[in-house]
Amino acid sequence: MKTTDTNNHFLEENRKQLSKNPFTTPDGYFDTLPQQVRKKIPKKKTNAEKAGIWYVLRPYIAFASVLFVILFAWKIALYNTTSNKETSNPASPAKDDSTGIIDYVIAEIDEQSMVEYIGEEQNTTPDSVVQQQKREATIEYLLDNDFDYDLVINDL
Amino acid sequence: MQKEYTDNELLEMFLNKGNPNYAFDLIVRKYQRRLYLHIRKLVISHADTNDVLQNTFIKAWRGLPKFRADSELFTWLYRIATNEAFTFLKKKKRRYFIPIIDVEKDLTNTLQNDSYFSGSEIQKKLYEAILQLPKKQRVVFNMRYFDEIPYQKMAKILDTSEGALKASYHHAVKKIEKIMQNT
Repeated sequence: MKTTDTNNHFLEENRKQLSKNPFTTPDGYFDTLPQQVRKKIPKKKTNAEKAGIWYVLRPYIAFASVLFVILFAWKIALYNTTSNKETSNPASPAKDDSTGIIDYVIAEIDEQSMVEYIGEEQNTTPDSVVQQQKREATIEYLLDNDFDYDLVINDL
Repeated sequence: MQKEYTDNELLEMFLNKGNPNYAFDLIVRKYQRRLYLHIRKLVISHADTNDVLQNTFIKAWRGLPKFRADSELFTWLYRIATNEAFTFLKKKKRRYFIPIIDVEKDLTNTLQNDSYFSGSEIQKKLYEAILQLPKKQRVVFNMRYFDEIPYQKMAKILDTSEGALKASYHHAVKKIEKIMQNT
């Protein structure tokens, strides 16, 4: 196609010769170019890659959540059952409830018995110690004053 | 021999048929020679042309999912290639801290020593003359004189009015004629 928008002659007269492609490329350049371009193009990410680790873990997290909810509901139900039993029989304590055990002990043992027991504990121990000390001092005195050992032992 | 797909078929394959890599490979094969030559006339060296052409296709890959078929695929590719070549020349100028006129001198030297230039002496003179034109006139001259692209298409590619393009081409031809007469 000839351009008609110029009055210049050189370019028009030599168009056929001048418009030949003078540029060359290394051998096989155009065969390998698509491959080179492909290497530089960032790969299209799959849905899994786009979402990252969340996409992979999502089913496991869902399963764990459901399991947690079930266990939590079961635990709540168990707790309610135990609470109801406690309410109906306050004298029997829950197995793992220390407050319950103390309440149970207080309910079972009367106050008088507990006071007597504490009094016995306080009185018995100092008396026996004093008596033992006295006995040893007596034996020591008698032995120091050449009393018959057998007699002393038998009399004591 | 491989079937020559139309642009619409290639676009359809790229966008909707689930095999964009294959479709894009076909697009590259279809247009690589024409785009190469267009870029080569602007940046002259084969190595630089290779870089610019690859960048052109990478940009095309990124832009194709949003490509609207209201313009032709080749027009769109041509526009990307032109912009990439201009960007390359700008970067070259900045990289060496040299004025644009020296960049053209550098391109002329490349042309004179280019082992991948197999043209006649008169062709070499013509390309040297083209390198003396301002960047915009150069691209207009190349597209009109060598590729015979109609002004209407050129206006879409270069985003300029047809009148401005005609004026540009007219000035370019005059300058080249003058340079060729003086050499």
